[in-house]
Amino acid sequence: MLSSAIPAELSDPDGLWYGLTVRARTIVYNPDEIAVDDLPTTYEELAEPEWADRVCMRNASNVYQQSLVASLIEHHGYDEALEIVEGWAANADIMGNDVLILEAVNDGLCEVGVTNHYYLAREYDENPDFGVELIWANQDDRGTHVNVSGGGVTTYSSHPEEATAFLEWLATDGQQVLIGGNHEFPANPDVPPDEVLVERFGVDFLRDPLQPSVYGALNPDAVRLMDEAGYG
Amino acid sequence: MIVFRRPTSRTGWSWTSIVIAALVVIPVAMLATSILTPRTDVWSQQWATRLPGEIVETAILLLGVGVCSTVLGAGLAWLVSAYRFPGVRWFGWMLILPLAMPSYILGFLTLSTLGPTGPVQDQWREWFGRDAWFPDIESVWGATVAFTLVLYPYVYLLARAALRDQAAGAYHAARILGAGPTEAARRVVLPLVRPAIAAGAAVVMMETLTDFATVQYFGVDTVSVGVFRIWRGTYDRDAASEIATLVLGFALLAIAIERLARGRARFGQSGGAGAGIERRRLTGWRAVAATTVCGGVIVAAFVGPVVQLAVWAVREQTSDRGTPLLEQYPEYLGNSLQLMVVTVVICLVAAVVVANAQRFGSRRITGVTARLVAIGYAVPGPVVAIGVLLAVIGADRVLEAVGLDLPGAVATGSFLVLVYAYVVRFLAPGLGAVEAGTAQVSDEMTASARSLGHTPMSTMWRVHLPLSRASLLSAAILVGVDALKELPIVLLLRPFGFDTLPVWVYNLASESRFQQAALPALSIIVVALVPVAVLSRRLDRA
Amino acid sequence: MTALQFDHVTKRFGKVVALDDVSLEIADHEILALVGPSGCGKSTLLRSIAGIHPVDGGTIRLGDRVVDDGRVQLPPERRRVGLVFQEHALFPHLSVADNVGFGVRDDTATARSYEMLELVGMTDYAERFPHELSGGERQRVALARALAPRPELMLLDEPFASLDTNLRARVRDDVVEILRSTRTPAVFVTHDQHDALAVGDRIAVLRGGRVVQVGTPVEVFHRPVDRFVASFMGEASYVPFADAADVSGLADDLGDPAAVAPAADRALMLRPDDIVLEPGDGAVVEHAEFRGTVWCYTVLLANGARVKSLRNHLEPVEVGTRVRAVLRPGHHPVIVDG
Repeated sequence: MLSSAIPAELSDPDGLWYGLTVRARTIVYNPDEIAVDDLPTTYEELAEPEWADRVCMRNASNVYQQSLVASLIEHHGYDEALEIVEGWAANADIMGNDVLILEAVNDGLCEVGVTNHYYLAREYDENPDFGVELIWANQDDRGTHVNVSGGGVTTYSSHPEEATAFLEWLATDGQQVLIGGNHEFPANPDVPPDEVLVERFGVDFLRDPLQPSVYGALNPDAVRLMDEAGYG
Repeated sequence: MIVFRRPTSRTGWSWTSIVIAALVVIPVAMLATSILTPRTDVWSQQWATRLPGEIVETAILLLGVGVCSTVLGAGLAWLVSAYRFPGVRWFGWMLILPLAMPSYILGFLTLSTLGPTGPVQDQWREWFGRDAWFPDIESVWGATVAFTLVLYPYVYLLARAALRDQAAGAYHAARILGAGPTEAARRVVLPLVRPAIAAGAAVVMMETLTDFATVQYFGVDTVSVGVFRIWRGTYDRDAASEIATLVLGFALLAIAIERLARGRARFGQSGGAGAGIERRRLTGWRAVAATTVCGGVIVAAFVGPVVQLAVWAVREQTSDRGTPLLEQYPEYLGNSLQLMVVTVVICLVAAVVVANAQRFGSRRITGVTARLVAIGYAVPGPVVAIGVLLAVIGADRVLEAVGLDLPGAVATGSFLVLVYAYVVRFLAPGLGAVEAGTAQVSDEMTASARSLGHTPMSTMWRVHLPLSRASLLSAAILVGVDALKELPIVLLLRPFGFDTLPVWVYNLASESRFQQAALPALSIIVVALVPVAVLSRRLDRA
Repeated sequence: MTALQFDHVTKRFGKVVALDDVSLEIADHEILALVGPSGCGKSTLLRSIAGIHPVDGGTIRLGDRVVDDGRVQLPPERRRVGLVFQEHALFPHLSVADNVGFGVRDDTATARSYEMLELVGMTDYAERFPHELSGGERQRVALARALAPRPELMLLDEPFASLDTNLRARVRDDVVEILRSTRTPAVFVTHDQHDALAVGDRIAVLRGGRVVQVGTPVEVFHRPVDRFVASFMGEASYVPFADAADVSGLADDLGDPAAVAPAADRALMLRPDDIVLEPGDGAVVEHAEFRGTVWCYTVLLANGARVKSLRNHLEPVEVGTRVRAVLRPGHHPVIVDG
């Protein structure tokens, strides 16, 4: 029942856990600073020298940054991923959190940034005229990198049946409760995302189908890679 | 002839004391010994990449915060001890208020107001153009300022006490012998208060070293941050613990610097009336400057931040967005209080046992165990956290080997492990306070009670504890507030889904949701004000 | 029957030997004064009886019970000894009555407490607290508290040292009277030889952890075993054996010269009351000290030794006067090491 509600690419291959909400990490920009035609369309492009001092990115301690780099390792191999991250390290102003990045883009301190989509949606809640927009990254190849938050039943659970029933509810009728107010995407494709996302971001975009358990396993490598690349 | 042959209670007290000391020391020792079998791949990888930079940043931050706190703390102490100027009575105790301000709260406030996207720099750019120069707040210098503002009170407090108790008489003697005020201060007062200042600076550096949350706001990459990143990012416990030995090394270095700065001087209390130094009145611009400096520090480090938090908290609670803040609040507050109460109870019981064992057990043993218990406070939080986990995993393996299987959750992050780490770190201040209490009960009083037929346990309940009630209370307050404020240990060890008020504040602040972080941040500050108020009353009375 | 018996008791603190092979006995109802300079081990000895310091070797018996044999120690609370300290060590959080009743662990505590307060004359102070009492009053309460559980032995550690001189003698006499009235044997530590001489049935002198001499006050004062005991118990002058002729009558008192010949390199101890000054020659008054009822003169003898002599205040002698030093009839010198 859980496996029919939640797509396989958002869950553990052995069914140990299931993704419940989806967070997309993508490219944001300030339309006053840069024309849509000049935007980078992929994560890889941000490593090109032309983006020097024009991009704001998240620090290496952050788990989303780590999983994005882990997905690069899976797609390009370690050495190529290292080159890309070295390019980022050379170009980017590295910041302590996604909201800072959005504000920096809004203030024109950088032209583009890489953040999770829902932070931008939250900025719109505060201020509908917030001067930052997003594009979905890597639409012409593998798709935008997504992260999940999910749930599973522990080995030592005292009430495994009830826990499974609760997970099933979260994966179906409970989806609205989970995404209520936080602007994450529902993991169940039958549940509609909230309106801001539909109207301002567009929800029919290509997602990188890489399974979280794959890039999760690469997380230690991603941390080491960023160490090696001198990425802050 | 009757010969009594029964084991004495003396052994029992000694052994209990040894067990408690072992529980405190083993985690630190296990971590320290992990360096004996170094994993070369970890070190070469770290050494080739981040580690040199992390070491340099750690050193700069420690030295910067140490020096700035020393100058600010000692300078303010001298100012309010030796001069009269408008507001000096108020400043005397208000200058310790920042003790109630955790660095992770002042850190995010500094960043949100002065940082690149904050209102100050927005305005700045509006006036002087987008590329106008502004000091880089997201840097080791910004972090130095934030840490200094919350940590200088440690130096200030100790320096003031030393000025009052030890230096006043010598200062007056020097003046009578013909030295001018400046000369007397330089030649007599400074050498006398130097040990106190050095001790304060050591505490300051230790608190700086233990942090890896505040520095991350400022983008400062210290060794502690490196440990955290390896721990959380690569799940490689061995690597994290080996790098953590470096943090321990820095702690030892800080202690060594203190010893060096203190020199061979050991000054006891002079036992004088503690009348303090006769204060000279400042006039004109000097008075204005003194008032401005003291007022400025208090506003920047405490009043300003609290007002800002209050404004945010009110705005958040009255906003129509209606965040579920108040619904989560009781849960996180409950977690914090639960952790605090359990830690306080365990620390008090352990401290009472260790303190009383010094009366009832073998002195040779219990004196050593009491000093061992005190090392926890000199060990940075990340070191304690990882050491405790190593110890628990080790114990788990031993138990498994003898056929006892603990539920898997015990090792990997349970409430129990968290409490263990808290006790290791906070037993020392608790023991200090309890010992101060039992010190008021003379050995002769203990001996009298024993000779009058009371067992050690009965003597403790009927004589020692009633006579050290006030000390027990202050031990509870000290441990409780430290436990409530603690962030690094929880971040490393908290069980899944277990959020405390500091973790909540940290998480919200990490996402720049400052307005929502305001209410929990204020709650922490309010609770932390309790011991500060007690301290300031003591300062006033003297 | 003995109240206390020390049998070859040794106690070390690290490398310091605090008690060195001490053997000692106290009879029932006896008061033993334990004297010696500070650091001689007298307080350690007292505390080892009480069970505060376990000993390293030897045996301590209280009555017929072995309380410490270097391996097994009876804890203090089971030794039935009373303790009184210099600082009294009253419990500041308890009233006088509660302090005294503290050691009586049954429902007779209150009655016994008042009985003891009656004994020490402190009934009116029962509801007060220790900080409201004077030094002498505290001492009585401390004594009452220690006596309340009917100890088999009382231990008093410098009990009068914190009292001023005027109060001291009175409290001392009161304490001794109370101990005698309750027929409680006692060991009583002091560094003051006057207290020791006044209080003890016997006196034990300690030095460097060893018992140097045990005896009645008269024995210890007048027949000290060595120069240390002689000096510690009171003022003493020493005349080299060879110079005995400098004091008239002294050489005669020594008896058969052959018998004392081995003592040729030793000295003769004289108390100030042993010497009388007479008109004559051979000595000169060097210094005079007024002591109220008497004068104490320091006299330089012909061969350079000095002796002290007490003299009635009505018969003063000028400093510089030439005199003859005479051994007072009936007094005898003590031969000690030179």
